Amino acid sequence: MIAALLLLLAPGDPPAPPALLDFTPAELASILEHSPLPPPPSDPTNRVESDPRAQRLGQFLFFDPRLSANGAVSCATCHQPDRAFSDGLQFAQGLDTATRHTPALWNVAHNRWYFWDGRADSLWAQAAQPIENPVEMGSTRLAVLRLFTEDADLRAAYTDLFGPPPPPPAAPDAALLPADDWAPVDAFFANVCKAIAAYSRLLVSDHAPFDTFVAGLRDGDPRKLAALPPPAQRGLQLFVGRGQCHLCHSGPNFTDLEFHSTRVPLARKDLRRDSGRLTGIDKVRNDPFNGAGSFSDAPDTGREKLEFLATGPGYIGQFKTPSLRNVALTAPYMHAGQLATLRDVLVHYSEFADAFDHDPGHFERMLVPLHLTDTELADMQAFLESLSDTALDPALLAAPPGPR
Amino acid sequence: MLSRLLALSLLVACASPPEPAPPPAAPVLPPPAAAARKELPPGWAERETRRAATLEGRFIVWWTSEPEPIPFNQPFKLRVWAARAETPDTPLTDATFEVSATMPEHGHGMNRVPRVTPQPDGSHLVEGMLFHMHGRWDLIINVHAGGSYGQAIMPQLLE
Repeated sequence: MIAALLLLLAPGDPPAPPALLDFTPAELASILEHSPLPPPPSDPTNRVESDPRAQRLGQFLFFDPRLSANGAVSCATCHQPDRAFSDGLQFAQGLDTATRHTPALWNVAHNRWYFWDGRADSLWAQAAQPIENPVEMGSTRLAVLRLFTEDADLRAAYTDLFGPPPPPPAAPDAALLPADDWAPVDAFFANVCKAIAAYSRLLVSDHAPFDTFVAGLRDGDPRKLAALPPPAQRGLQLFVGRGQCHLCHSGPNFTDLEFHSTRVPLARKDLRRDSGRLTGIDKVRNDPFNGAGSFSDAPDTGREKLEFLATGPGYIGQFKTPSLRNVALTAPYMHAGQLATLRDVLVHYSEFADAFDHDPGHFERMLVPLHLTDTELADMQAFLESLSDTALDPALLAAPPGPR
Repeated sequence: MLSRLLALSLLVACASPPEPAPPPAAPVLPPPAAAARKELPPGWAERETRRAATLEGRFIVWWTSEPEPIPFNQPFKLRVWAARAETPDTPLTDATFEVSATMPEHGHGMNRVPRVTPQPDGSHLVEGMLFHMHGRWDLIINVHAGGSYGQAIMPQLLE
């Protein structure tokens, strides 16, 4: 690689080599770690995750508002394709207003945990919760089953994958029925969520200008290196250097997949402190749709992921490290959308002027003021904007004509 | 390269010391006797073994990882042993262990609590380890045996 870089400086080598910062070996190693993005890891708890029939059904359901109580809210209401599958709002707005910000979905299958607090351990277990959350879509699994029973296309698409859906039980609630009578409804709902996960897994974004630049670092192609202008390169150098951003935003999806308290200010003074990962740990352990449960297609694998989880007050206020791919498209920022712009985020991590420092345990000692100059802040923003993909598959961004 | 693990402390020695050989005097500890590791299952016996004295000097502990070197942000396992300092090549069969790891520069450790299970050969299997960030990790091995307690802290740099 170094030899390839030296070639850029050879006299008379057309076209003229782009300006390339003098990255240190450690900086180069970190930069190379961030690209290319490999395919998402397999989730053995979802046996249909790669089935094209499940992907098609899942994509249809993702955009189908009939999954909500009022017939007007779909997954895409908050996860809007033209906003990197976020919504531009501080707080998610479904049937009511949520207390957290809608997370973006590109490369979502790379996650180890789901939701800001990690209260789901798989993409399909995640999909189950918004459908029944009264603040989001407010429906029920029984209502979804009735929809599949009444809609011949949905019923056929489901039957292709899983066999015929069960008949809706006579009673409207699990509490009114013997467990054995309700279990088929839960299994049906898990299958529907696995189809939605199969579609969500296709949301891969890996062709940002930054990726082109890193490919240029690897093969010495000056046209690829030109993908990152000098300000973005300087921002990149800060990202992997003095800024130490790469410690949490590590790897090719720019996240360590885990949880931190980063001293972000409260969303509003009148809101209680969000307990974050602490309650997320309890919820994922007790989620009937977790990977160790009876609806998992690989409970042993799911159990391995859950059984070593630590907990304790140190997890209060911790939230999942978000990916930074397409981050320029997903304002506002943080778990409660409390920072309006990328510049606000950078100023927070540079100054910590309004930092919340009352979490009881976990505290990132690495988070110290950087006092970045205006030029450095602009450079960092230029780098983050270089993570926006320009080659997204349009076939993934809208509802297909039918579920099969 | 990214997952290469470097020992930071002279407390830590390798089964195959680099050339030239380190001086024989303390604090560099010799590798454990081959007999102490001969019962390892396939895939473990060839791995690098690191060895250290506990802080108060009562015990020697040694460990090897699967996979080796310790991977970045992926689960891994350890095998650990302990011996009394005066008989450093004779693994204890009655020792119990607690294993954890912290990032002293960050103020936190792993998001997991590993499980330690005794093995027939006197070693203990440590499952559930995961280092989710680059940087310095202090691997902490607590040993209890014969009414005595010891703690070894072994800094590792996860690049």
